Amino acid sequence: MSDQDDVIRDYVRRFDACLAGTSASRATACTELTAHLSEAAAAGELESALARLGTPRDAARGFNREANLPLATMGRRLRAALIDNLPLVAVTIGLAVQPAMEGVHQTTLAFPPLAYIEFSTAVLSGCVALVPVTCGVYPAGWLHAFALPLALLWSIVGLGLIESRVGTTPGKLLLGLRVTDKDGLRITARAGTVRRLSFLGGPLAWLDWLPVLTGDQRRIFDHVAGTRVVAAREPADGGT
Amino acid sequence: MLYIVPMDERGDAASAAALGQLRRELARGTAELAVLSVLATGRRYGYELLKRLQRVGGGEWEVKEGTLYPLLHRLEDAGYILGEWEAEGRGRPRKYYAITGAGRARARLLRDEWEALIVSMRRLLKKLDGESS
Repeated sequence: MSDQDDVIRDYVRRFDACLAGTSASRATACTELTAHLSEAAAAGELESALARLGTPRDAARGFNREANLPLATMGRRLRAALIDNLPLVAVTIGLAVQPAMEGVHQTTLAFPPLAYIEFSTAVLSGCVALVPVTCGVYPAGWLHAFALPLALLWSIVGLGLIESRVGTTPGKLLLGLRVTDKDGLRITARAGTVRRLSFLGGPLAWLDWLPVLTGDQRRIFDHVAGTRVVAAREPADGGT
Repeated sequence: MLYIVPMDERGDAASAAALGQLRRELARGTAELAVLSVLATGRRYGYELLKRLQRVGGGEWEVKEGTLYPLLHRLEDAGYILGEWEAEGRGRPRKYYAITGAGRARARLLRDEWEALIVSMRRLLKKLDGESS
């Protein structure tokens, strides 16, 4: 392996880390870029070719095809979200049926569930929540104390990290969707987490979808995080 | 009347940069015609196409990979060109691009539009020159 081959390989590796496409499309883009740089090296022009390309991220803007993919429809995104957030759905149902199982004839059913933390000290007791809510809507127990925080952690941070690492989530993969930034490139972990923060708002999270009413297929938090959800191929469940 | 015009010592560099920007904006609209026209003369691989465009453009065409490859992908998605990988018994494969029948029709259309635009602009400029003199 020559020094130039090492330079090309390192550049293409960093270029690949910026791409948000499927493993097949990323492999195609990397092969295309490698072939181009190898030809430039053979002509003694590798340095000028790299100067024209700019940083690996600049090169990724030119070589990626995800920037041209159409935005995913709301229906497809919701179906993917249902799959991805099954833990949160399960906790929601559990919190709703728990009172009946304990003989209490009052229950709360809200999705996303209301997130609050109750505290009690010698001088002060109360409730901390992003959305004003009456504390105690959910029965005490391991579901509210542990399962709900863990499910929210998965929905907000877990899925956000997965999106930043592979450009999609299990539900989105099944529905043929990918998450990119405005240039069609891989999003950061910060963007992946920020775009999911609406889950902390309980049912108010549905307001995140308000732009859909005006024909905009990006949620409010998509605009805040600078992300896009695109349709890379037809969904695997045979839907549209 | 004597006009004193301050000379900007960076005037030449600023003018060159502005001229370069103008050329890029004008070239952007003709890039598709240029690529299809070169491929109409024979199939090329990416790097070869880039060098050919630079050479034929007489050094005036600042062709960059970041412009060329998105265009090639768009043309391929539209069916105007076809890309095929060939190993040729070499260590590394090459992706050759060849123009399709639809691409040749597209090139003819773009060339006709381009030439009609040039004729119209010349007519307009000549008329304006005549009015101002």
